[in-house]
Amino acid sequence: MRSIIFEEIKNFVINRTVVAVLLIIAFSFSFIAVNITLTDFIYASNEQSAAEESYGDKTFYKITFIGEDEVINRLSSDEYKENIKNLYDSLKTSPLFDYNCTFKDSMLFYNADDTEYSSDDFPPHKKECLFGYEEGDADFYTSDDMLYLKAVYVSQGFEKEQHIELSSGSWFKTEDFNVSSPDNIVLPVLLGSAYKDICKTGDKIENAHPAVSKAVTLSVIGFLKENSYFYDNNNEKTILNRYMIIPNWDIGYDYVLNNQSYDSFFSDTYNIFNKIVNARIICSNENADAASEMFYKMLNDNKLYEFSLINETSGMRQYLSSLEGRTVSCGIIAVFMILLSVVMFCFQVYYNIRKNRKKYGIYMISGITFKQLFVLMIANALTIFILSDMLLCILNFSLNNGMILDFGTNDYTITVLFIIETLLSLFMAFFGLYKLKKMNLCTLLRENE
Amino acid sequence: MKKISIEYLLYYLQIVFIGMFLMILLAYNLNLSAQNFLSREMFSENVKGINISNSGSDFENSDKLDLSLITSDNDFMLYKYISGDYDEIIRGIYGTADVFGFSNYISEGRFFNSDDYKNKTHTAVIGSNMLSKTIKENGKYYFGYSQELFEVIGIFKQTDNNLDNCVYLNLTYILEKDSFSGLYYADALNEDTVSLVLSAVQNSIPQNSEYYFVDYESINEYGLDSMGNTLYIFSVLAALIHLLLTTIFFITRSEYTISVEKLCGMTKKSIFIKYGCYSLILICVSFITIVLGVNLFTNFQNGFFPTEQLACGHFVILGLALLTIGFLITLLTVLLSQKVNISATLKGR
Repeated sequence: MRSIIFEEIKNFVINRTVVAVLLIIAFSFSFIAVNITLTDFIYASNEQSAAEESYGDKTFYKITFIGEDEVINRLSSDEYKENIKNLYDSLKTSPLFDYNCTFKDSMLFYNADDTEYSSDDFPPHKKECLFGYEEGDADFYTSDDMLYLKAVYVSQGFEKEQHIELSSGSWFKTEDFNVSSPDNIVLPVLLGSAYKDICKTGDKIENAHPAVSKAVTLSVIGFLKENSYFYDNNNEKTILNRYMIIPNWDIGYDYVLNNQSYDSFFSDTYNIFNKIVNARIICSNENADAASEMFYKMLNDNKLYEFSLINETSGMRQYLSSLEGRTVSCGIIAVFMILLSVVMFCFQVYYNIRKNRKKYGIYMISGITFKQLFVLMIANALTIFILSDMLLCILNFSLNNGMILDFGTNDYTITVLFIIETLLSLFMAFFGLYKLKKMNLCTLLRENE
Repeated sequence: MKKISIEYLLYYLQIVFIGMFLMILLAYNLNLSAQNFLSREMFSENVKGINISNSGSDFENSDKLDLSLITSDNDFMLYKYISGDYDEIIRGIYGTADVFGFSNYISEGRFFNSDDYKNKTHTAVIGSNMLSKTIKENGKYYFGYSQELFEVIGIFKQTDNNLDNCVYLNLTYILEKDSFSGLYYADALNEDTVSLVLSAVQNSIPQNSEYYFVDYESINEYGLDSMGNTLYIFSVLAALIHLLLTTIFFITRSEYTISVEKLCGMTKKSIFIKYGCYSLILICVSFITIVLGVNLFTNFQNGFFPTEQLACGHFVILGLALLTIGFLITLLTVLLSQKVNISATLKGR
């Protein structure tokens, strides 16, 4: 039997090279199309689930600003600080909507007053907690005297997020969101589960700079449960294992200095990116228009016309609708590709039997069973698929650069490939047996009919 | 009625799908649709830009750009880029006349006139979607920009185009308050006027400034992402290879018939003509199916298939591509037919 299988494969590859090569290439290309469809489907499903989970039945607006560097510089100047603070205070206390200024950023650790401050003085941390780690940028931020760690600055009510839980310690209190003195500032911090074996509740972490030039001390008050997550202001799912979480604090002391300038901690705190830009306004769908009107009224009261409101939910609905359209279209292509592959492989089996009728007739006269013929056809199919897999690997490594060509590799690629190949092999073998059974022995031996 | 061979049905399906995939690739990657003034984001084909930066302090504004020094024999428009994305286009505007007929798009109020530019009024004209971003006071609308309120003197009618999301502010007033640095676009009815205007702008800017000329870059994204392009390219290639396989299997199944035909005196030319005719009929039927399919796609999957970008040119290219495919398939059929051994086939070897 082994010699027959070997002979069959040799005959297929050497005597029918053109058909073999075309089948291999056709299957490989068809699978690439099917895989891209699968990737699209997975992506669209994830986006849909994320949108349903994060938006629910509410309307989300995001605050942005009009202009480029010139506008940023102007809004960051002390001239605008009071307006920014007043706008922020108005937004926070509005009865019509919730104001959420939770965002991801880095936490810096350095000591400007100590030239000998070095990596030995850095707080305990793990490599995966470095800012930019997942993006491959961690090395870019690494230096001998400055440490960048991942951080999330959260608004009040963060504990109400659906998928956030503490494993130990306590949540931020209301007073934790208010800095009442510019001296010896201590901010509470919750740590992700990655810090659990290197820090403990009550630890103090010095020389922290949470987007401010002044150093603060962080006091560990608890740890988050593993895989706690939330959706950030770009609606990206953020798993908090590697993050430090600190309150997005307000200033509760007199920040105007004797010379009428502003205290530096106040100036840094009311940076537009910490308080306004990328913050979200969340309201019910019925109040959406009223919330937008109120926002623009607040801008008018504070003469901050550089800011603007983007309707996130409306934009997301349009995006999901286009994704759905694209997925359906890709699905049609994938179904066509699979059907075509089935038809072509069945044709190939029929073509093979037709070309080698006499040989099969002799096999059957010699006593070969249908089970053995089944194995023969499976071997034939597997030859095509093994060679296709090799071609797919070569194409993937040589052409899949994500810039011009993107094959959309996902976690299920190999599983799906295996399933398709198994099903096609079985289908081909059963079809071949069916065709052989239909032909009588005389027909097989008489090739001219 | 003669039974249609399964191979012809396969050919038909494969050619239809190749055609559909090709149409999508062409629609997304080949821009042949005629662009009008609005679809070019309210610019003509002659628009050119100049990017000016002030090498002095960002907050000093002692040097101004005097628009009255910019003259030309023909009328022109000058714009300053303030903000530009799909949801919101904000530009400062100045013109010696309403060169491109903005007044024709006004539904309420009026467009800027020479008095507005001369008196440097605090005014704006907005698109229909921008009303929600204005402030209403004393029955008038105001658009806020840079700590100032600009009175809305005109609102464009809804056009389902970029105009709906645009705001034009009086550039002469903006240049009184803001730094002259930034990106400016000059537009006119002919290229020479645009060049003259840009030269005049270049000569008007202070000596310590830096500048360079730019072409306008559209904010409208056009094209498929790399994954989308890969999907359609490989689908077309896979379907083409299946076409070749279908031809090989077709000849194999028809070996006996072809041998008899050749024995009866059918030449290469007559085989070519016979199968060429069949190919042509298939191509025509497939083309009609594709056109109907595109219309069906428009009605039920609007948003993904860019039918608004389809032009006659795309259909012509598709027709030529399908005819080429038909020709090559016929050629292959003839070549494979030539390889059929008459005596071996008829003797059953």
